[in-house]
Amino acid sequence: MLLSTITRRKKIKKLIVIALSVVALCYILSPVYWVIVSGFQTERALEDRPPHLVPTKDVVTTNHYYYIFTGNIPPDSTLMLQSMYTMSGTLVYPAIINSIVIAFFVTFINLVLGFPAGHVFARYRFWADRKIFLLMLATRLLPSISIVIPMYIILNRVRLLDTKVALICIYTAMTLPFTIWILRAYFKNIPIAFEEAARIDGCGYLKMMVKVVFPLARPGIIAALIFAFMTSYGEFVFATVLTQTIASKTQTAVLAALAQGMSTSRGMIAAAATLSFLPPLLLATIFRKHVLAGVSVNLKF
Amino acid sequence: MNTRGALKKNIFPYTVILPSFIFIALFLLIPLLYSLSISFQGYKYGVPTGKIVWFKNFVDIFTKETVAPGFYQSLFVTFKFTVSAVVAVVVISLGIALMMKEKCATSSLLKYALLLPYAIPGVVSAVVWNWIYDASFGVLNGVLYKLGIISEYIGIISNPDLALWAILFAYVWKFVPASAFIFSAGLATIPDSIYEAAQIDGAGTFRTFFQITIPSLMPVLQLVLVMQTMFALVMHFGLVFVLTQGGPGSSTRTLAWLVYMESFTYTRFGRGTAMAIILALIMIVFIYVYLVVLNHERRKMSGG
Repeated sequence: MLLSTITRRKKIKKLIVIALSVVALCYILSPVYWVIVSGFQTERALEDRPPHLVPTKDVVTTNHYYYIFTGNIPPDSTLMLQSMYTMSGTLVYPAIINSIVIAFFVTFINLVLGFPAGHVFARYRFWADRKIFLLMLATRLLPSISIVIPMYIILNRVRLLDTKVALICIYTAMTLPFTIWILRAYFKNIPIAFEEAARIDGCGYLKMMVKVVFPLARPGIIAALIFAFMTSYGEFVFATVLTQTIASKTQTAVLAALAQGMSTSRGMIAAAATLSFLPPLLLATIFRKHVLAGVSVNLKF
Repeated sequence: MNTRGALKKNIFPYTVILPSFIFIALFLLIPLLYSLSISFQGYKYGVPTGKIVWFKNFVDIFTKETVAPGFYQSLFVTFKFTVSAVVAVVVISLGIALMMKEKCATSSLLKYALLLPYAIPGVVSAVVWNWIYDASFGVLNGVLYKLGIISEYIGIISNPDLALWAILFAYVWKFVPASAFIFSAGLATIPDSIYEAAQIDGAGTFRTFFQITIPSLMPVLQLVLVMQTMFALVMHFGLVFVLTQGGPGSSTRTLAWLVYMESFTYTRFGRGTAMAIILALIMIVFIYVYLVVLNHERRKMSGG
């Protein structure tokens, strides 16, 4: 009797959990589904009421992607549609490349500088070590909108406005504190014995870092670097204020400008958005375990 | 020889962190100090004149008839948004974390699905939501119309009563995953034996939740609360930029957007920077709470 109430309760609980999960899944997945599907629909189909939630064969097209990658207006488009393929659509692909290049350099500098710095903060005691660490960490939490104006004035004066170098430096400064933080927490959980053994065997600092410490800390390093990559890839405030031409414009700046256009092809915007989120999504899926580990490092401050 | 060795050992940590520190100093700390200096200067045609006016820009923001009402209005919008966003994100992400803990097919699906909003850059998601909310051809209008909830297509983000909530809905979508991951990691640290004991004692789902889950999750909950508050104060910028540009009227003009408008639309750099500093100060209060809370937790842990 009691047992049957408990199992019945469990069944009801499970049903509620499944029902709520389905609602949550719809909320999470539907925007992504819709933007991908929109990118493959003809402009005319996108202007249908109601929208084609499940596109049929007659409304599917790859024209939007064709235009983004080649800059050629698809030959079968109407005059109206031709005007909707605005030139800025052709900037999407180079802007994504810009974003990847910038994010790659930021990630690389994070590895070269943040990895040893995180190690030092975890292993050495020195004057004001904690104060320096907290100062670095505190800068991470400053709103970027607070320093974008002086940044603009400074960069304008040293003629670094509209360059990738400027963005790389800013993003490096923005991501380093977090990288150092994650790695410091990570190193604290690795026994120091391995490093001591390496030192006794006559290992120099560099060799020890590369041959002993790096392999031990690899999961933490990957987590930190992915975070640095995704942060710099998706940054918007600096990217939109400090860039002017495609020499440095990132995908966030181009996409935001594209979406402002009143009569821009909506299918093209959807295709551009899809292309823009593919690189970080790919990365997050491949390194899913590391991403999750990186997020929960917050717990072991 | 010995002293030289000791000295070398003493400088060594500094040489390792110096390059990182230079990056942070050059690109975060110096601009921050410079912004202080700009906020104390008069400006003409957007350029600081170099004439020191001390706190005039700040006083203007709080008292000048043409500035202050807009500023207070934006504080109100910021407050409304921040409180709703934090509550919504914490409740939904905790709910999702609890669902992921149950062992059924949907829970593992959720784990993968959450990666999408997490990985998609904020501005890209803003562009996606802009298309979803579209007044003429948006899919949200289409679905609501089909379901009979609305009788004709409506302007969602051009409606002053709806715009902020539309931004909130998109914001929550993007920021739930990070908290859900943290809650999930926190839930995993609660031993199963406690739940088993509670079940034997006949505690129901709700009692278990409020007397075991919540108290055990307190440190994590505090961390998420403060982090989310900091995010909510500024991270909505991309959404406001793409979706509403602060409008309609002043319904989505948050403090972060006001800073941008003052500086880059009206090129009043001095006043804009002063507002940015006020925003940063609001933020620093939270950073302070953040550090105090964490230190407190750690002391409690090492004490016990």
